[in-house]
Order: sequence, then structure tokens, then C-alpha cells
Amino acid sequence: MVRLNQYPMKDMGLLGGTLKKSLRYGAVIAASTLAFGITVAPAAPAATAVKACLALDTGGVDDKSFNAAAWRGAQSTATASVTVKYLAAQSDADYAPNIKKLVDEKCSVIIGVGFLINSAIVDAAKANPGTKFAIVDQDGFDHGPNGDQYPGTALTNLKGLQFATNQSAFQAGYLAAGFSKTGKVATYGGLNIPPVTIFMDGFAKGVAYYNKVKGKKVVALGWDTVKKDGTFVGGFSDQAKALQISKNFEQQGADVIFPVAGGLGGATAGQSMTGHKSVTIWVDSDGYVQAPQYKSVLLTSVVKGVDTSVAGVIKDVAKGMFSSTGYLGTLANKGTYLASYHDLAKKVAARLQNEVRQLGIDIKSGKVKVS
Amino acid sequence: MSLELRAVTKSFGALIANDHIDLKVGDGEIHAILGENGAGKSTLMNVVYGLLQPDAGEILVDGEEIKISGPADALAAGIGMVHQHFMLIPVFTVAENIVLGHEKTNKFGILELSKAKEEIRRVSAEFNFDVDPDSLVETLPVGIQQRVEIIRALIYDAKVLILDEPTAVLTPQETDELLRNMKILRDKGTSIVFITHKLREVQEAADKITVIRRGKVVGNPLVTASQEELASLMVGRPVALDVYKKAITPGPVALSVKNLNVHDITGRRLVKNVTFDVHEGEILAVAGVQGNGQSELAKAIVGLEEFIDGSIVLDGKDITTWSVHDTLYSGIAYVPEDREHDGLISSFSIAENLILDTFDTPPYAKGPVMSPTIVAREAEVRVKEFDVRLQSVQDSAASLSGGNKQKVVLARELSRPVKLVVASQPTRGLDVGSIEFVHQRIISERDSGKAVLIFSTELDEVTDLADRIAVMYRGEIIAMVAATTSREDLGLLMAGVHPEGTRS
Amino acid sequence: MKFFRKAVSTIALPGLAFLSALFVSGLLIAFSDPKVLKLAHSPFKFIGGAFAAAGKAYLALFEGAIFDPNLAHPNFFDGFYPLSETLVAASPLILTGLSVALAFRAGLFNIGAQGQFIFGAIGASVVGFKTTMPVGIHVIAAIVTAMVFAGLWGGFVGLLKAKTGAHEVIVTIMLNYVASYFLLWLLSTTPFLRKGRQDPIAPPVKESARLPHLAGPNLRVNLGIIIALAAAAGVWWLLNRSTWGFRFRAVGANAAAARTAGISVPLVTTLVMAIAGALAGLGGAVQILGSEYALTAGAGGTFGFDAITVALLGRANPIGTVFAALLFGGLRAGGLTMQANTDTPIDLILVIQALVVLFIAAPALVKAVFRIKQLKVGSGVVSKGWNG
Repeated sequence: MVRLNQYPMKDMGLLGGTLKKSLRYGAVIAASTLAFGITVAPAAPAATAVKACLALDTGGVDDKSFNAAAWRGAQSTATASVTVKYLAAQSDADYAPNIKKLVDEKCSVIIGVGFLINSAIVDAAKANPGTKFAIVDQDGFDHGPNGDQYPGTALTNLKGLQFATNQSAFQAGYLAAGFSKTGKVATYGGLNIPPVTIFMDGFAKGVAYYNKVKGKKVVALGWDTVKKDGTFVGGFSDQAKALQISKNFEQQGADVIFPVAGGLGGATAGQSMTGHKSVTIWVDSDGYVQAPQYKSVLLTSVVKGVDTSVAGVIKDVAKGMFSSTGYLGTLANKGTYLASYHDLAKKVAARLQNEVRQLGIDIKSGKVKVS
Repeated sequence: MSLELRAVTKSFGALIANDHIDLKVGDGEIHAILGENGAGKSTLMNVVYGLLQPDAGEILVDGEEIKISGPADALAAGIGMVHQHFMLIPVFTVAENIVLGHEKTNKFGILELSKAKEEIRRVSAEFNFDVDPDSLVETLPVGIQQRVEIIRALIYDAKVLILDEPTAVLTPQETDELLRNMKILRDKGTSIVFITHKLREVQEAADKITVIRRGKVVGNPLVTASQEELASLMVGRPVALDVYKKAITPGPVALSVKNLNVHDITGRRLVKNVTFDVHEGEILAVAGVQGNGQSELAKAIVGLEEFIDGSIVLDGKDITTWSVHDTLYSGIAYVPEDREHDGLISSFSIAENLILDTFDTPPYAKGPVMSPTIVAREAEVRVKEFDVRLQSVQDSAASLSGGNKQKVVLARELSRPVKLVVASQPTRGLDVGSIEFVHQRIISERDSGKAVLIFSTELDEVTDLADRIAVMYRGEIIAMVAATTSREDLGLLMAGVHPEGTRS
Repeated sequence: MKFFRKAVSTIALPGLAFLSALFVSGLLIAFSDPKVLKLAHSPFKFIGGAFAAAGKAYLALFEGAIFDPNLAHPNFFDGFYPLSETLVAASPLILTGLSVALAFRAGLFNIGAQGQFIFGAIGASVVGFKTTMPVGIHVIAAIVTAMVFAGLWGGFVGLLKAKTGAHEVIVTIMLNYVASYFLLWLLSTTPFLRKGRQDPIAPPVKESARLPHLAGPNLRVNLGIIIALAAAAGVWWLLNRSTWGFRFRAVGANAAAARTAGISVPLVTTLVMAIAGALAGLGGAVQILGSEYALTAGAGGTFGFDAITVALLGRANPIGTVFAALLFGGLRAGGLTMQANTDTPIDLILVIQALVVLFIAAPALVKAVFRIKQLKVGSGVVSKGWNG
């Protein structure tokens, strides 16, 4: 399915904004000559038992990141009695109107995707107690009119979907440290925000754990676990900057790179393919499946189960079992996990594979603390 | 070779620039085409040279109709043209400029200039042009650059040479030389079409005259016709060419400039140590060839030049460092040299242009609030007083003709209470009728006791208007002479030469 | 009669351009609908289907921009919710559009409305959530702060140009980057973090600093639209009836002549950029205090860039700018509904916007399409603007 917006709008960079916009115009006009290039989001208007609706953020449905994952999860639940649809936003100002539209359409459940959409979802949940809501990457609590009341009050019709991705990233860090020949590995993020840095922190701590266990000195570039700061692109759409960061890491000797920047991982993987100096660990989804063009350099992927959790919420609603209790994706409930090594399996020593597997078991059991 | 036009017609939208024009230029004659600006002279010549295509009519060379669809065709037919603005590349040599577009290379692909140089030397010697093919064009005086253009036309075998306002850029001496050269060319068989609006030159050089007015041929006067007759034909009504000026005793000093230097941003000194006074009731004309520092001197007086030293005193007040706004309000009317660029805002209405420097004063504005009705009402009064021909004062200034534009500038500047009028090239590009009006206005300002400072490159204008004449050369005032000084002596001074008895 | 003819010639061209854009977009809507494409085997059904699809989409556009009968019961007034949304979307656009238009008239190309908008949003947000003031005073203080922040930000560009000749296009583009990354950084600092969160979202502004709703709590339309319209009237007065406007326009139309007439070009440049900045900043304030209530990294949206289109579409005239902004606001609000009701991709709204601009920017095209000879094209502000 080809959609026009291939440029995730999540970048807050300004010219980025215009460029993207003009690219959009350009792409759209170019495509208009081909007219058939445009397809619409599938939907079934017929009234059915359950109507699950997604309110996406500005990344759009093809952001190759969590918007796409959420929509994938929702689509997987579509049956004769479950219809799914989404509304994408053009800017932050669209969130509230979009959610209102979904409420007016009498959606059975409205799932907000993205942290910025949180306030609008919370407001809507309070105003429409009869509608069920869920929010990805947030706790789903009401933190008061000034947003400063913590822990806040739970709402009976709003479910937070969160992910302990530091668990799987911890494994990835351990794996990277064991896999590295140069003794240097690296990570970078899109923005310095919790849903991103939780991966980077887990990764860096995984490397540190490897050093502790093995008595090695593998260096993790790009994230300082003490200062809570590191290397960031400053958005999710600047391919050139992501590529530059990847090249810098390679020049510093890193041979495993873990980009936590949605679709920008492609820039790093592309550099891995052309430079033959590094391998890439994909983020959010299994890159081997979602970005197969890079499969020859993907060591593994740190999967965040946005799709499965969204699908889970919709299935619960369909079964009449919706609960507002927050969801936390962990290794234990497969809400996050380390994907298969796929084509690179034979390059990963069997012993290392076993250690990583055992590490996962130890994290689940609480024997190894990841944070 | 003879050139004949039959009923050539060319229109631009509703405007008919050339209306059934017939013209016959015989073998070896200088044929002057006389007309005011906008009469259609240049359009006609652009048609002949192939730069414009006529809507109707025929062009015949030696009795045979030819089709000219571009300058290349014109050249092939033996028609050459020297434009008012030269088409030369300043950093190239004379030879390089002449071969441009017709370059020949030797077997190594290197530019072959020796033949061209030979040709240039031959033509130059034949007509006594004194042009060195190896000199850089930018180092040559304007008059010589014009000869380069003429040589180029001759080398490409032009038998009919069109000269478009050729004297506009020349000093009086250079003008005389050009007229002499035109006669030499004619005597050797080249026909010349000489476009001009200067009556003296026509009388001096032309064998035949065609007068064009509003796109039509209005007459073929004999070369013996008087200047008044020619001017009347051109304008379409009787014109007084001699400016009547009553004698008046100048009053006290109004403007006193001492040791003034003006530098440009790169530090070049354009005005050098200039000192002079202008008295009330006196017209001081600063004569000089374009580019000798007059423009900068005029601008410096009104505060438009940034890097100046020396002193400028108006009516006892030192205004040297004042802003333009303050200078104008201290009592200077300023008519800038380039009215299109500096004098008017063409997209503004005529009414707005009439208050360009008084818009924030009563009655036009009270505090920050402007009154469009008063602006329009006052504009009506001004345009009547200054005889500006227009449809509505709300039309844009761009819709006016050159003469009417200058009238708007004058109406604006002379309606303020001023002590000094500074006018740069006040009649440049204007037709005879408008020149007459502008001159009369300037004289009446002087008669009412104002000090007037005129900058002009036109000798006629200088001698007609001035009570005293300052001659500028290379940034200096090299002579301060009486208004009765002869044209010849003034011409020499403008070229930097002190004739006997004029050294001041 | 003359007035009527003038009005027709002013509206006719943009109107026809809009119709042309709708027509071409209708084709795109039809061709992008898989249900329509399935009818391709039968030309009649295909054309019918295409009309139905485009009609449905445009009905949704109308329902999303002006009036939605589905929302009109039980309370008829609620049917105007879409109009309210249009006005909410248009308010900041009017203000940023005015910012660009004003600068345009003074011969300056203000690409920096984006950065100025951001600084206005920052100023309004800081006063809105950090300080405590009585109702009324608080909102005024927030607005004034926004205008001062953005005015200084814009005026700085004017000062640079006046003093050093730095071209405002380059400077404003660069300052847009500075503003957006400054905002990003600011949102990562402690005062701007909501308690317990590390997301780039500032605490919401207090109730006392919010612009009051104009039509009850259900409709989001707020005082912002009144502020925007008042600003448009103010800019119109400034440009056409004040001595400062005369100076601005004179410098814009011919800086050399303005200078010769004694107008200080550097002063005008600085002042115009400061006022333009303040207008864009007012837009940021209206956005934060009127509808968003919290500063986010994406708070700037594309208001500053859309403003350029809006100002061009409005021919750099304050009244034209208001209408262009309302059109864009309507397309924006209606586009969300079009997406929701008919599954038309939201990007198609961008296409319609682009097509409207394309058709208006190329009057020759519209004239050719409709075989108009005499229609007078408005003054050529559109084609100029790069003159320093």
C-alpha cells in the first residue's frame, strides 16, 4: 500500500517542517499524474459491534514506527464484527479535534498514539465517560489541570499502554558488547524523551553488565547513564543527520549501532551496508520483517509490542473485557522482546546466544536488574 | 546604398508607435530623424534593425523588398546600428569586442585576432578614428567607445549606419568630432540615419530631415529651417526656445560650501575640496561631463552622501552632518538626477508622490493620522498649478510621461517653503515643450529670490539658465566663470583644458 | 456600480482559482477511491461513482468547515461547531499572515514568522503557567509578553539588516532554526517540564490566562479571532491611513526614492520587522492561550510558513490576508472531517491548498482555462518580494 506521506512529521525542526511540506506537495503533485498511486485507509462503514479507532500523531500511518505499529496491531484484529479506522494529524493542534470526531462517530474504543496526544485523550476521557480510551506510551492517569499532580488519578475508561523496553534493550546491549570486535558500540536517539531514552539507557546498562560479568571494557557511545544525556538527531526525519551520526560512530570505531529514532534507523543500516564496518540493531519492530532491504546488516531488533498491545486492547473490548488497569509490556508478557538474529545467526557465537537467552530469563525472574 | 521604408506600422496594444511611416534614405546622405521622446523614433529604428517586427509595411534596400527578422538579417543587408547604450564588454580589448560573435580560431583552437586588428587599423586610419585595437574598452573615453561601435558596424560592411541618440553621452568636443566624422563617412559613401532631438546638431550635420510626432511623419523640413520651426514641428505648437531672463541683483549668500570632499564606500574621493557660494536670487550652474562628481556633490548637499568632510552652510546653519529629512526641512528643494529611481515611487499614486517628503506635516497629517481627502485635494491644486497632464491624481506615477513626471517632482519640491533649489539634470530626457516649462519654473524661483543650484551636462541649458557657471572636472571645480563664457571655452573646460583667460 | 465591478474583479480570479482547484482535487479524490476504480469497466458508472465520491468528500469538507447538521440536535447552535473550528484554525494564521504581509509591503520578505510565532508562544506560555495574576490582567500580560518577545526577535533581524545589510531572508531562515531548537531545549529544562514527566510539553497555562470562549464551552472559538480581526483592521489602518504606514510603503515600493525624500530606511526596516514579529508573536499567544493551552515542541506547527502562502494569496493586503487565512482555516478544519467521514487522506487537503495557490499564482492559467480576456489581475505583489 502506497501512501504519500513517507516523511514522518514528527520532526520539530522548522525548515524540516517546510521541506517536508514542500516534499509532500511535490510528491502529491507528482503522484497526481499517476493518480493511482494514492490509496486510502481501508475502512468498512457498515455498523458493526465494535469500532476501534486510532488517533495518530503527526507521524502519520506510514512512519515506520509506532503509528505504523499501532495501525498494524489494529488491522490484525479486524473481523466481521470489528472494524478499525484511524485519523492522522497534520499538527499538534489537530489532536483534540480529531479525538472529538472519533467520539462523535461513536467509536467503541479510541486509542491515542504518541505522548503528545496524552492531554487531549485525558480531557476526552473525562468528558466522555461512556467511551473507552487507551493511550500508547503514557500512564493514562489524570494529572490535574496543571498536569503536575503525581501519581494522579486513574480514570475508569482510560488504559495506559507502557513498555519496559529497557529489558530487551539491556539484552541488546549485552549482545552488542559480546558481538563487538572493536570493543566499541553505540546508540543514538531521535529526541531526548522517555520513550526513546529508556531504550538507550537499557542498552548502555546492558553493555556495562557485560563488562562487569566478563571483566571487559567495551565502550558504549551515545548515552551517558549518569548524566542521562547522549547523542540525538533532534527529530525523527533528518536522514542526513542520522547518517552523519552513524558515520561518526563508525569513525570512532563502533561496530554495532543501535539507532532509537524510528524510521531513521534506515540511515544507519544503509551506512552499515555500504561501509561494511558495522551492524545495526533495529528498534520498535522486527526490522527483518518491516525493513527487509536491510536484512543483511541487522543483528537483531529490540521489539516494542505496540502492535500486540493495541491489538490486545481491541480484542478485550470486543470480548467485553476492557479494563482500565495499565498495561506494561515486559519480556515476561512478550510486550517487548529481542527478535531473532535471522541471517546473522551464524555470525553470533553459540555461547553468546545462550548467554543472551539466559540473561532474558534472569531479567524476567528479577535476578538481573535492568535499571 | 539606399534604404526605404513604406507605410511601416507598429503598435503595442492600443498605442500606435509607428503609424504608416514612409522614409527614404538616399545613397551617401545624413538623414536626421527628429522627434520628441516617445515620438516613435527608436521603435522605428528597432524595426529596421530587426529587433522588432512591424505589423505592416515594407522595408526596401536599393529598391528591393527585404525581410528582416533579426539583427543578423539587418547586418547581412548592410544595415548597422550604434545604440545609445553601447553593447561593449568593458574588460575586453577593442579587437576582442569587435570579433565578439564572429570569433575565428586558428588550427589549435586559439582565438585569431591578428586579422581583425589589421582591419581595425585600416578602418581607423581611413576615417582618422585613432583607435588602438589593443586598448581595453573600459580605459577609453566615451567618444572613443562610440567609435569602436562605429568601426564594428563598418567592418561588418554596413552601408547604412543607424546612430541612435549618439550625442547624448558625449562632451561638446566629442559631439563636434562625431558630427565631423559623420560627414567623412557620408563623403565616403556610407548613408547615416541620425536619430536625435537636438536641433543644433540637426542643423549642423543633416542633409535631409524627417520629423516624427506621435508615431507619424509630420514633415520634411529643409536643413535651412530655423530652430524655432523645427521645434514647433516636433512639439506641434509654437515654442519659445530662448529663455527670457530679467536681470536681477543677487542677494546675500544662501548656501556656502567649503572644502567639501566626498568619498564612496571604497574610499575613492569623488568630490575634491570643493568650495563655492550660491547667493539668493542667483542661478549657479555646475557644468561638467557626466561622472565628474556632480551627482555626488548634489547628493552631499542634501545629506545623501555618507562619507563627507568639509562644511555645508545653509542660511547660517551648518547642515553638513544633518539627515536628509532635516536638510530638506531646513529649506532645500531637491530635484534628483534620476527621477524614475530617486524622485518618484512609480507604484504610488500621483497624489502620494506629491507629498513624498511632506506627508507627515500638516495639513496632510495630524500626528500619525493622515488624511487622504486633503492629500487628494491638495494634489488637484498642485497638478493644475504645474500643468501636469493626467487622468486622475489617484493614478500611479508610472502612468505619466517623462515630462509630467518631472513636473510632479517640481510641483512637490517647489511647493515647500525653501531657500535653495538643488536640481540635478532637471531636463534630462525631456521633450522640448517640457524643457521650456522646467526652465521657466526654475527662473521664476530665482526671480522670487531663491538661490538655485543647477547641475547639468547640457551646454545649452547651462548657458541659458546660469548667472554664473562652475565647471567640474574629475571631482574638482576647475573654473568659476561668467554666464557669458562661450560654448567653445566651456567645452574645453569640461574636458579639463583651460583656454586662455579663463583660469580662475 | 463601479464598486460592484471592482469587487467582482477582485473576487472573480481567486474564486475561479478555487473552483479549478476543487475540480482537479475532485479528480484526485475520485481516482484515489478504490471503490470508484473498481467501476472502471463501465464509463458511465465510473463517472457517476467519481462524482459521488468527490461530492461526498466536499460535503464532508463543508460539514467540517462551516456547519454540520448531524451535530445540530438537540442544540441547533452546536451545528456550528465546524465553523468554530475554522475560526480557531484561522486565528493564528490571520496574525502570522499579517506579519508576512506587512513586511512585504515594506519590501521585506519575512520568512521568520515561524520563529517569531514560537517566541510569542514561549512568552505567552511562560507568563501563563509561571505567574499568578487576576483574571483579565493575566491574559493581557501574557499577550503583551508574547508580542514583546517576538517583536524583539523580529526587530533584531531588522536591526541586523539596517546596520549590516544582512539579508532578512537568510537571517530569518537561520533564526527559525534557532527558535525551534531553543524551544526544544527549553522544554527539556526543569521549569518547563511538567512534574513527573520528561516529555517536551510545558505545564498548561492557568485558567486566568486563557482567552475566553465566545460561544459557550462546547465551541472552541475564542477571543483569538476577535484579536486577529482587530489586528487586521489595525494593520490596514497603519498601512493606509498613518504616516508610519506611508513610510513603510514608500520604502517597500522604492527605497531609493524614500531615502531621497528623507525617510530613514534603516529605522523603517527595524520597526517593520519588530511589528511583523509582534504580530506573529500575537499569533503564537492566540494559539497557546486560545486553544492549545500548553507549549509543545511542535507548537509552531507550520503557521509561519503557511503565513507566506496566506499573505501571497491575500496579495499582501490585510483584508485579503484575512480571507485567505479563513480559507486555509476552513480547509484545515474541513480536512480533518473529510478524513474522518470519507477516508480521504488528509494529505489531499494539502493538495487542494497547493492547487489553490498554484491557480492563483498563475492567473494566466485560470484565464486560459476560462477564456477570460479582460479580467484584471490584482497588483503584482505576488511576483515581487526579493528586492532587498
